[in-house]
Amino acid sequence: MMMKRRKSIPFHIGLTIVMLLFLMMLISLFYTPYDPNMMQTNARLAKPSLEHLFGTDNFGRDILSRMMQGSQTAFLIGISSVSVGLFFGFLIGACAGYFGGWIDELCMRFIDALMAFPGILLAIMLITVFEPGIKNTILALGMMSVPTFARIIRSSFMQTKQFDYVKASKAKGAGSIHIIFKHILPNIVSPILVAATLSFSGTILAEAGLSYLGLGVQPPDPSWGRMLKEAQPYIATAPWYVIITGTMITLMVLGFNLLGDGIRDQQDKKS
Amino acid sequence: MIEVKNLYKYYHMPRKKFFSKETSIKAVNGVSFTLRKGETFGLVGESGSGKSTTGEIIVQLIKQTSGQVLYKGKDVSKFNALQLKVWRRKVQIVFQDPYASLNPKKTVQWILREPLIIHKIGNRREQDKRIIDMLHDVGLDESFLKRYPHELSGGQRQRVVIAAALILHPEFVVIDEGVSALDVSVQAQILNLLKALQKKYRLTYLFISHDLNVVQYFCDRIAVMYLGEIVEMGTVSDLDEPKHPYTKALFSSIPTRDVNTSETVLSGEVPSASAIPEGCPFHTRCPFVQERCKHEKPVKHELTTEHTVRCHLYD
Amino acid sequence: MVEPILDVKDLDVSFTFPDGQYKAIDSLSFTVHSNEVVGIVGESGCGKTLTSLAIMGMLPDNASITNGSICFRHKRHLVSLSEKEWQSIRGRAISMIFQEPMTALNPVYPVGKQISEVLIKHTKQSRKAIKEQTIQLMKQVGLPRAEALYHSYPHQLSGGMRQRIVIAMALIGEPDLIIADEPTTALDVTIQSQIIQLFRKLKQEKKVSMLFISHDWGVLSQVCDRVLVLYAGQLVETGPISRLVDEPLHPYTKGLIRSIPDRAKRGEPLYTIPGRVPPLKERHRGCPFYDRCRERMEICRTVRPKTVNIKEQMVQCHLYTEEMDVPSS
Repeated sequence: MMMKRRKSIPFHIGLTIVMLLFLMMLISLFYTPYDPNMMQTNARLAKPSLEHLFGTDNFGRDILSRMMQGSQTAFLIGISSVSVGLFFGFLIGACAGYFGGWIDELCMRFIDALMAFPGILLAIMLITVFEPGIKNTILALGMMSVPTFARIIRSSFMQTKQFDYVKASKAKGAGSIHIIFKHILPNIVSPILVAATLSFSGTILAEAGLSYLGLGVQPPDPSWGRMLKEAQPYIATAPWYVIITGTMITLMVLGFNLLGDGIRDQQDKKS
Repeated sequence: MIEVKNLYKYYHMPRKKFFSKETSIKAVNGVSFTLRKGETFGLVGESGSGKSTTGEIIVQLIKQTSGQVLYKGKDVSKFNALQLKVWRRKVQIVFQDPYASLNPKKTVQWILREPLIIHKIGNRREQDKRIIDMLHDVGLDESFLKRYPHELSGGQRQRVVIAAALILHPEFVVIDEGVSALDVSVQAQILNLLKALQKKYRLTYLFISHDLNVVQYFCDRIAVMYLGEIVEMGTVSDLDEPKHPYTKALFSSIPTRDVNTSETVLSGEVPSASAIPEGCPFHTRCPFVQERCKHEKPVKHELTTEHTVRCHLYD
Repeated sequence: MVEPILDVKDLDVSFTFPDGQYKAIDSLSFTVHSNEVVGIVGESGCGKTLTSLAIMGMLPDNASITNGSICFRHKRHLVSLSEKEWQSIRGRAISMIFQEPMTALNPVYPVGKQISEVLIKHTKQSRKAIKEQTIQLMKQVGLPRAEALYHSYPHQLSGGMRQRIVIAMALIGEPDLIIADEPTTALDVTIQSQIIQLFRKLKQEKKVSMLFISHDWGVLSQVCDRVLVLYAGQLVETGPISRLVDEPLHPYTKGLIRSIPDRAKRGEPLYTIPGRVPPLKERHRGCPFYDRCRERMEICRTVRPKTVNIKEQMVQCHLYTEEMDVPSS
């Protein structure tokens, strides 16, 4: 109760990492050191040097440039699939939590059905039925996170619905839409934010996994997951390729995890 | 003004085993009373007596299983959406916990404006004026407009809650344990405020409370509930000499400064509302229990036109 | 005079905030004697619960005892104990009864086990003897069918029964002092009066000594011998309960008692104490009650009143001086 709004150290580390990566993505929109797809056959698998900070890959493409462009895909997929998941999760969770009764039953059984498949398997299934590509990856990963969001939003709704101010507003004649958006939503933003941040890192990891299997983002769109796969055969001859790519994915996931944990800690302190 | 007739509210519990009988909780079990314009009607009872449920049914936050709530002869549970919205302007509810009654993310001004927006009353300037007038009425001033609930003390919060309830100028307010969570000195402030507002706006109060001292001080008429039924009802002075054994026991268990009062301590506890005893619901704890109480439900006796009691002792 | 069981002297408890230290309890002194029930009364935020936590050595992390002493049975100096030493005192020598019986009990253990926990930890009796002793005690606190109840879980019991279990838990170690923090507030009136009867019986038969925190003067009258009136962390008045109720001296005590609604006051507006308890950071020198007092004088603003003895009462207010025998007003 008397805690100042002091942010934790992990929160700051997380925020810094995420900001740096985001900055890198922004820069890549206008500038990359080399054309990410330009092959230099005379400089294949070059070691990191001043010329190529992260070295080059098996086709002689600049890894830093590809890394930067890959971050666009990572953020695009992360943001879009979290949005997709959040949108449907909110719809289902809000209905279930707010109205309760048989609507709740119906929604939750649907979520149970979704949860019956492990998320990544569901995504693989969706992608093989349709076709690989950014759009379907986003949809598949979004669907994967729907159950988590729906459950968190449902329970927050049920909790907040109990409060007297919601009842009092209802007694003043307020409709459902008013109550949901003016009373309930502002009070459950932080748990949703935490869930979204943590889900973001999960999505990035899943995308890397899918692309590694060749099911995610297709060439020529760059993707960290696919870069990792491409680096694999050269693990002995050009270890930096694997290390740099792996580190990048780890950093991104770590950053978002720390950020999510930090937000949660703060919220726990406040209550 | 408002007439409650034979109100019942049952909750069905999910079966524990597939073949077991469905159990139901009888929260309100045939309650009838009338509220007169300008009076304060007290509803007292222990937890689980159904007093709050009755209050929430009257403002239609929950629907009754059967029975009627009549406003000017019309049944409010049969109102359509439009009629219900009009009804909601006339009746308000104030809850116990001033910490849970205000949305923590909204300013006092927003909270007070909300009902006006819902009912599309006035333009922005008229709303502002009404909000400030209301704040003055409850003993606060303009400096509170921009504050958030967590910046207020318990008493100030309850004042805001009352302002938000009265800003629509209702005729009738249900006060559900509205002062129970407050310190004595603050409670006295709020009770005085409620009395003053009642005079100014000619309000009718349904005052639900477990605090018998407060009810005896504040109300004009009192109904005592036990397990979903009104066992005794009368003017506050009628109840100074209670007739029903439960009312007697209840009022004598108020701890007082006199230590050696020969109080009737009731043995046992209130039975569960899912297993209400047959016959008179109070017979399991009644010191004057007779054989017939266990089978026959007592009827309502009118001792005077005001004072009714439901007990076989008065047959 | 007999040695007191608990002797609190000039106790200060302060909270540490990023912007400084604030005294929440300010030079509090009182005693509890053997077989005496001492009540603590005051509004929320006056330091009632904090006092009990200080005595139990369970202050929140950012609060600490900054001055004074707490002597227990005349030798143990409670201020300077290590956590290890505390553990041997809590439950054994001093035990506590909380307001909300549901949260004071662990939902996953049978209640009998929870009552006997102290004995299992601190004595070397056989399991059987412990169980017998527990059931014996459960009967004494008015639990019917104690043998069967021994194995039941908290959620299977009603509120009144749970509070009896909590009381049994507090009694099992035969403590020298019991601290009860609003033990009847969460209960219905009829159950409350049962529990009050139980407390009175325990006082007579088991000769317990208690510190009894409550805001309800009726409850205090029923169980207490003496009452301490706390305001903003300071002891403003103390004396036998009947004296305080009939002839309160301090304007705050007067206000508290006069603002209680009852049927005798029907039809007239209630007496109120204006304003509210000053928050921790807004307390100043002088009398703590100055802002809300109806009988204040210029001196009250700047000079903190001394404690004055008037008959059996002690009051901290400039309206009274030592020579006065009969309270004015």
